[in-house]
Amino acid sequence: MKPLPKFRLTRTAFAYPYLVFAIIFLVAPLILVIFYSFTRQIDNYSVYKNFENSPEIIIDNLDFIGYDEDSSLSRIGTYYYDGEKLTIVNYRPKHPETYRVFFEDGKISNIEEYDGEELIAQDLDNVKFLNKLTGFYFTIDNFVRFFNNGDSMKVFLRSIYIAFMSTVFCLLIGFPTAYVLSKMKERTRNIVSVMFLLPMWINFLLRTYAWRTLVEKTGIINTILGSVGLPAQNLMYTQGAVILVMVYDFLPFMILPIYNTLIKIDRSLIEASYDLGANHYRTLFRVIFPLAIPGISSGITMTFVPAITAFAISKIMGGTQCATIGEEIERVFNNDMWFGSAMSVIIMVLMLASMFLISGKDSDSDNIGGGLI
Amino acid sequence: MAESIIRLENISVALGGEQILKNLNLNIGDKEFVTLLGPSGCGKTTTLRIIGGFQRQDSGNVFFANEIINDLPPYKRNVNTVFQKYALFPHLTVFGNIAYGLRMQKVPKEERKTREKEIKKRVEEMLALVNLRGFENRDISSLSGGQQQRVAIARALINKPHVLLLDEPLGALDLKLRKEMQIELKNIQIKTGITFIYVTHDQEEALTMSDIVVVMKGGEIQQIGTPQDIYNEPKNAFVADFIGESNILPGVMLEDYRVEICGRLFECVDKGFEDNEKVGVVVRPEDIEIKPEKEGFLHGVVKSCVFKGVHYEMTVEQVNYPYTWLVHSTDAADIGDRVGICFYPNDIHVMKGEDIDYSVFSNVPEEDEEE
Repeated sequence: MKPLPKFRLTRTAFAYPYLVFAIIFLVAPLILVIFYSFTRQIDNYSVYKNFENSPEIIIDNLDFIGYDEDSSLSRIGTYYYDGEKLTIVNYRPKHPETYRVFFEDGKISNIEEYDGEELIAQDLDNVKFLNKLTGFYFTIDNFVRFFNNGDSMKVFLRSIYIAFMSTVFCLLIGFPTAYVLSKMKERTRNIVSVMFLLPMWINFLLRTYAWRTLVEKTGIINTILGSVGLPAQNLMYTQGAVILVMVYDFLPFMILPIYNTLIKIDRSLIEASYDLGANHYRTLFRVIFPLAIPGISSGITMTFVPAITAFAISKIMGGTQCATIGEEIERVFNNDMWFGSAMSVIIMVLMLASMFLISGKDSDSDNIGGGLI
Repeated sequence: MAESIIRLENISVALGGEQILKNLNLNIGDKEFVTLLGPSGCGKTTTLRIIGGFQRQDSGNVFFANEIINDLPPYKRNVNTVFQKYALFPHLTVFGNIAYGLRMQKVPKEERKTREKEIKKRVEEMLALVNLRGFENRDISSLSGGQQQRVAIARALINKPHVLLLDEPLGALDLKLRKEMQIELKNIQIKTGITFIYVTHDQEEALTMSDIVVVMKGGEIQQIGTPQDIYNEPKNAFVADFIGESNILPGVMLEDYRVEICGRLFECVDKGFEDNEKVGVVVRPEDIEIKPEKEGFLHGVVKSCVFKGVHYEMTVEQVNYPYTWLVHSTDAADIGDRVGICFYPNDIHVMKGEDIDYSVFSNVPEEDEEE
């Protein structure tokens, strides 16, 4: 027998528990989600009948054959028949419908929906349950279903729109703020940046609820409007309200990285720009802005990613009208974790792609040069 | 002196409670190569920044071709700068960097179409001027220090400024490259006919390139003159010591052309001092000859002898007088030898000696300071 490798208690040895921790708690759920998204559960039912009696059987709802409400593809799933028993694969008990199975020469010739008279109890006597098999099989059905489903696509596109708009507004507000901040004297700068960070110390749900009291139909804004004699505005449960609170919540994540790159810009580069005849405005757009791109891109990532997955904000501020993909995943996951996993994988791919795009732009900016802006 | 292009009048600046420039007056002639020379913190860079418009003076006026330009922002001054660490735009290529100045110019609408062509032509001219043909599309980060330096010069020159300010542009280059660039810079200056105002703490650089050297210390100008003047006729001990290595001794001017050093009488070529006035005397180490003991005016013992390539650098401790001479000689001598020291009237430079603190001068060669 080989001797075990000697365990040496070096300083790095203390890192291993953390490594294990990281694998278990960070990587494992991710792998699980990806696994789920590419699989579906199998419910195999085997039934058999006395074929001699009739050329067809009617398989009743409830218990075996179902279909997906939103997909015509897997109406009945797959079935096979080995001469004695009929096995129906990929069957979803929650969406019942009745099917008629035709036999010809002891083999299944056709299966079609049954919308005739009520089932006669005696027909069911011919059908016997065999074993119920469970397991999983690999499929891309989850994804196909997502893209074929108008409703989930709508929610998906809406979330992208809301996240995109929030990011744009964050950038429009964040860059000038960071710029002004970076120009301040160190003392004032510290005080002001603390003011930006201060709201982050409050739980963000509380902050969101605070906005709700402001924006509500009977909220502070409408009260003030009413006291001045203006008509009350319907601000709550709109996309605008969701975007507003998202901008509010994620603005510090935009300002701070931009601010960090701005204060690191070599002062002499700005002086060089002035020296070469560029005024303040042109220097801002030709030198400061391009040099701040790393900060801007990380700011965009840090606002866009949480904005697209956020579900509490849209739930509180948007109600059912503005359900985002985060909410949708949460809802679907309880019933159908395979589909829910697929949705979250799609979001993940989207975010990875956007991050890759942004960081790709970032490293390219050195090469593109003057053409960039 | 040529026609004045930049004139500083009673400029004073204090930064963080420290007086950087004290009532500075300076007149810079057109098409001259002027060097501001001095140790770190002497105010030379501040002077440059005032001319460039990056620093506002507390009092005094800056004239450009006899017009006050105190309130003109840098982008409206017909002056360009080569920055100390080049300050090249990292997000632009070589071409983008050099063309930056041209792109910032306002162009009438009719010319816009042909503009890009013209920019291309001008950039190519500039690249040819600084020997960087074919580097247009290179990244700034892929260039060596010397190449970056050239790009910085080309970028500053493309707007055809009247005056080019250079803030220790060669400080980061190695010795060989620095020498090459010195010659090249001088050539560019002659070729373009632009006034160069050059800041350095390297006296050799100043002497090699300049038409006029301005020696500064503590925010004040110590001496203005041609390199020859500065080297041969330093006005005070600071200049003498800063410009090259020197032997600086206290002396007494007995009468015109006669000076007493080390208790001995020497003939010299200086006059115009009062009789028996205390003066400072400068003797350059390379002007001193080492002779056999009997033939020298002064006698000493060789304390060290270091081979420096062109010459040997020796320190010779004088007998009967507390002074150690620094000598550059092509002949070697052994440590401990007794030798004679010999120099000629022409080599004795007499200067006013009121406030010389002789204790600060040592004959140990100074290291190049970094700012």
